[in-house]
Amino acid sequence: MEEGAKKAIERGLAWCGPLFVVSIIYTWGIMGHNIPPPNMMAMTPDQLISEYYGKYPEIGAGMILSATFGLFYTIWSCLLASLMRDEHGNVGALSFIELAGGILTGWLFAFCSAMWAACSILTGQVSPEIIKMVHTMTWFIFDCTYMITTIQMCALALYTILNKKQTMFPAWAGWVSAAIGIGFVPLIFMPFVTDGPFMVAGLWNFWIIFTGWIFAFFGVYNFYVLKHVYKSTADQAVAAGRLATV
Amino acid sequence: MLKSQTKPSTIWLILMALSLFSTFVAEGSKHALYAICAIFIIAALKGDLVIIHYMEVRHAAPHWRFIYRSWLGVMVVLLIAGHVIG
Amino acid sequence: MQSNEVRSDISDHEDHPGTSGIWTFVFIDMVVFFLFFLVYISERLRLPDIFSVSQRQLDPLTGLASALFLLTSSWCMVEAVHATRRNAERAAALYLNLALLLGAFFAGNKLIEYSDKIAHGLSPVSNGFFTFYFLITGLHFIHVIGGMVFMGHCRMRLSTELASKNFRKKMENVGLFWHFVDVLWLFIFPMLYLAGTK
Repeated sequence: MEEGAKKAIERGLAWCGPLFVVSIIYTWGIMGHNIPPPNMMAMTPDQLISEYYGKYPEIGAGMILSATFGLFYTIWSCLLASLMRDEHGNVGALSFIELAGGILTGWLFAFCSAMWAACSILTGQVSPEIIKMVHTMTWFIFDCTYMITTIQMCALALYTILNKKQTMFPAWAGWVSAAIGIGFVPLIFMPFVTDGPFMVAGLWNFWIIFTGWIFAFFGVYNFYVLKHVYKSTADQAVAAGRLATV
Repeated sequence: MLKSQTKPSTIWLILMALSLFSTFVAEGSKHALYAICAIFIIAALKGDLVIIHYMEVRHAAPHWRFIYRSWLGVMVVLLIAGHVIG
Repeated sequence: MQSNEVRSDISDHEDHPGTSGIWTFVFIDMVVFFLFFLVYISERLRLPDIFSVSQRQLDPLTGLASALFLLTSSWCMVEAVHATRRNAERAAALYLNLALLLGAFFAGNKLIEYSDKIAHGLSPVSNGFFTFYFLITGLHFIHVIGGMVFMGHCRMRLSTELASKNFRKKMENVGLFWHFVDVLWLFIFPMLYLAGTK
């Protein structure tokens, strides 16, 4: 592939990151009325319909769009994995773990959004009990498989901190990534609580970790990835800690 | 005031005394508001002693002293405000 | 950032204790615990009666004992680091051993306290206060165990690596982490055991 084309593709893939952030906030968050999500564990099936799905019909369209844009996370994660090389230019286990986490997280966004779209679109056609069942099950899948994203963030953190030769990402970003990844663990409480900070819309399990994930992790790494892909090829090799071959 | 080369054992004695004192204040005080302010301010003072004398933050890169001591201040404000409002 | 810059966190000043990574890590950990404390306070404001009543089931003397163990262990770690800088192997070994022993006392005290609570039917799902009690002290406990593992590693390597600069930096890093674990308890103890029980 020509150098110019390669660079253009790389930069396009890098911009998928910001595109994911903006589109998900709008489609999943605003159209989907998930800022914050309804406290399903404290709601009866009828309440879930009257206060959420029945009240906001745009949720269906928002979720269908969110299912599309969710995969931009995967695209960005693939680019990131391609950058996580050692000084010989080889990808290793950490790159693969980051990639696996990014693929699964993107899939999770797409899959769960499609399920919630079904809940919205089928409101009035199937019983509220079925809607609540699917809605709740989907949230359990979305939240309680947090380890998908935790492994991505921790693998990236390890690469950032331990690879002393790379200057693409500052060490502090790695520490923040690891902290947020581990901060997902209290999601294990989500299915069992109806109020407080660990419920689905709680101060910790929604506001702190979602905001941390999208801005303090994803936003930060987006910034450094974009900076990197606009460097010259030679500067990129140095920033990646590649050993000189001449 | 304590010098940075104050002996660790002296710092330890002060920390012990402050720990015992704050427990005494919490258990014995009839004035809940004063007790709460006292125990959290004492906690921050103890934290400052550990950060300055045990962690030797004066010898670290300059911004860490500000950052770590600011954290102590933020913690004290959070804990006192949180208990006073409630 | 210029392409020929090196990362500032790997060019450590000779006189700075530890390496810059540990200072960053400790700060991030401080932020995480601050967020937990923030959430604790918000929950306490929402359920003041439950929190006050539940806090009275904790024994302040148990929390105080934990504080005294950790403070003394911290002191021993300071002496161990100083001894390492002087290449004084026996002193470093003695103080490391004491620091570890006191850490073990803290851990044992905590486990006894947990067993007692569980025996009385209290668990992380009993109420909002006990969710935080187990979560915050549990997270702190993991830090204590981690610190003890690192101290144990240093103790094992002491005789063979004492003279190296890398070992000194390692000891300083472990010391910094251990002191941070101590500082955390200085706030956890009054928050959970002392404040707002009246």
